[in-house]
Amino acid sequence: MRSVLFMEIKKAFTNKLFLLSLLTAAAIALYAAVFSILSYYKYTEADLLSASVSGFSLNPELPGTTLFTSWIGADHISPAASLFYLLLPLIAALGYGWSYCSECKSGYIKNVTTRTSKTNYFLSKYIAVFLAGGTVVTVPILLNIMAVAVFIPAIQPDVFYDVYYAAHPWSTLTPLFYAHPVVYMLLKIVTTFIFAGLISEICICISFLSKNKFVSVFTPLFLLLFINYLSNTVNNLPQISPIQFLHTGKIYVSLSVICLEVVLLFAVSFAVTLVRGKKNDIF
Amino acid sequence: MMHIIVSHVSKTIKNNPVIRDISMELHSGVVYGFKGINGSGKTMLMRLICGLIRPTQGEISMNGKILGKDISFPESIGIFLENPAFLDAYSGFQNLKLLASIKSVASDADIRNTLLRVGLDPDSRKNYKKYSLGMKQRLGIAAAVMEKPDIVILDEPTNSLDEGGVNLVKRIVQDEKERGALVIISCHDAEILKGLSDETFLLEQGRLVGHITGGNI
Amino acid sequence: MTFFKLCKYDLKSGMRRESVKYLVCAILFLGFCVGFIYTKGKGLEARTFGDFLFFITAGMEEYIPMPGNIFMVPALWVLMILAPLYITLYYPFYDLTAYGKNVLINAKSRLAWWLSKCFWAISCVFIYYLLLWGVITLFCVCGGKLSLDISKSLIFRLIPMPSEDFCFTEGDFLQGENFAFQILFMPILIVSALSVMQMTISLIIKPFFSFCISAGILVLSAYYLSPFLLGNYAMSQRSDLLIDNGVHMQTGIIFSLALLTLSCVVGLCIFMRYDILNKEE
Repeated sequence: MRSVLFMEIKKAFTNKLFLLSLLTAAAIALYAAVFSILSYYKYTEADLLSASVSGFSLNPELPGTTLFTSWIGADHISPAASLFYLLLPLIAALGYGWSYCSECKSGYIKNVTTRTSKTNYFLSKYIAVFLAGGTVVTVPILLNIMAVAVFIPAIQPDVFYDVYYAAHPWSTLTPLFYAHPVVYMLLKIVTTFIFAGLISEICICISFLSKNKFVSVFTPLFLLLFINYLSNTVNNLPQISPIQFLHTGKIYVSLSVICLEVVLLFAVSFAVTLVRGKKNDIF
Repeated sequence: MMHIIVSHVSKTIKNNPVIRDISMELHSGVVYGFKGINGSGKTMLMRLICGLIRPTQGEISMNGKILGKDISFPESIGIFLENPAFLDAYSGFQNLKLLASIKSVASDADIRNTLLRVGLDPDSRKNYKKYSLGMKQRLGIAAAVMEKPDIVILDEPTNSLDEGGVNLVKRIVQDEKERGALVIISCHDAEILKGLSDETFLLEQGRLVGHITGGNI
Repeated sequence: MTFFKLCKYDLKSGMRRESVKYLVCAILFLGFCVGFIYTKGKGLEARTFGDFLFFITAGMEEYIPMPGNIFMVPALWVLMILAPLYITLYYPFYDLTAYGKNVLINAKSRLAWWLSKCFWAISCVFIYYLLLWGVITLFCVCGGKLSLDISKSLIFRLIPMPSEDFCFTEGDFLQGENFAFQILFMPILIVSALSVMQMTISLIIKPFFSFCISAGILVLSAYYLSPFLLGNYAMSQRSDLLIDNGVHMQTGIIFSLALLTLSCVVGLCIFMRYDILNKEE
């Protein structure tokens, strides 16, 4: 099992499509960083100009714009951040989600399954797809944070400036955002990693129905867009769309909903992968 | 020593019977040929023996263990089925090394020797993507034999090969037989099959219609 | 003659391949119509054909970036446009790597092949919107009004501050003939232009990434109300008939036709020199 797992992980992290999607996501994330930094400096410049002209400085409202509100996961103003989270399902799927479909079609799966059991193959595939999907999304986020952190100070958020923040008063983790913003940020990154990994597992499930790589890669995107639309249609309930609650906005996010979605996604994808995988003939 | 018993095996796919009530016994150290026209069920039968698909009826046992019940796949098998399939971004050697890492039976030296046996350069950095059809075929054969498996299944191994390549396949089959492997080979060319196989099974429309021993077809 | 034969082949072959996707789209349209009835369409006197179509193609109001004003991508509008872009994404690429190679050789003309693919993409988009109109017609026949007029109350629900000209128009409905082209044909034109552009870009980079570029254009269009971003013309609530700083429909028509033509020509130039290898899907 270990050797198959290492083989799958190696294939996942060294394939061209993984690297291309990582680069694309990184480009979007860095553009979002540039946008945030330029907005911050525009505001700071306005303040300095006002001070030089009138002798009075505007209230700098320092806690209004901090690292914790300018990184891509909290930036609710820049178009690049929205684009990143809109395309998150596609980027995650492009990591390695297409591999089972591709290997079935080419026949490569025969070479592997005759050397090990189907259970080992599918388990390894599941883990590799999860890791690749999570990594391809999380690394650009980390790059964005590093870029933003160089220019924008990490000032503790202040509840007095809550109008600037994308933290809903009812959301479960909002107190954590104010008390320990670094922990909040890390928690969001970990959640994003987990969701991206699980979203890319949807590709494997779809591959059992269709051997078309395009269908398996694009289905998670359209599924989540549809969930996003449904979620926006119903008001006053916790946000169920991962595209929304991973990106944040002034939306009501419930920890129990997030945990439930994780468990559900994992249970369904894992069960389908292993059960269908073992049951299906390999042609 | 490998002993395979195929007992009244049938396979139906989407209400279409592709294999109908086939029984046979196979032993190590013998080369078996499967002969039949396109669609006669040769490849399907090979897939059944590999464990890639499960019979609708009947069973296949290997040294007393039933395929699909006691074991999922034969414990030691090397296959070359239909078109060769490898990873485009890797060279021939890297592809074989990746596959060999699963069972860790074949060393780098074994892989190098196998590549030389099939007429490929183990030091070539050329990606699989740039291989010609003949080279892909040779790599597929190399993957089937590199781990010295007890069962070797070669489905149309001489496709796309020049005369030199065909002679190479003959040599490899002979070597595997001498090593004591159970070799199953299918080929359209009667002459090649005649020269290679000790026993030949004739298939027609999924049925076993003949069994010839001694290479007389 | 070859061109027409190729068009016939593409329509037959391509539509057959994409039939399941159209079925899924039809189900989505049903969902959107039901969603409209229970959200913005609630309490409207009579839900007209125009109301349904306006809601689906509305998009979002102009976004003013400032702290506290969250930018949320209009999910329905994005989904409606990305779906036909996805439908038209795969087939041309597939046709080059598979059976279509034989067709190309028999046709003996790269020009005819490329033009037939462009024609196919535009037809696909047209059929997609025809399907949408069909589903909406069903809802109107069952419990609405088959008219292109749009309820003013719906417009006020979606656009809090419309233009003065609109506010002072008489009657409870915006007359269908004033706005028919915007809601009926502008989305088709815009999406057709985007899909041919996408097809052209797919000749250079992988189709997945050309799709990302299309998605990027849509998000930027939602973010910036600008006549230079094509997506704005596909948003009915950003028309200058309804808001003061809106985009002009005629400009949108010229822009999309220009993009369509340019993509066609550039794609043709690239395809004339294109090496048709069995590239991995």
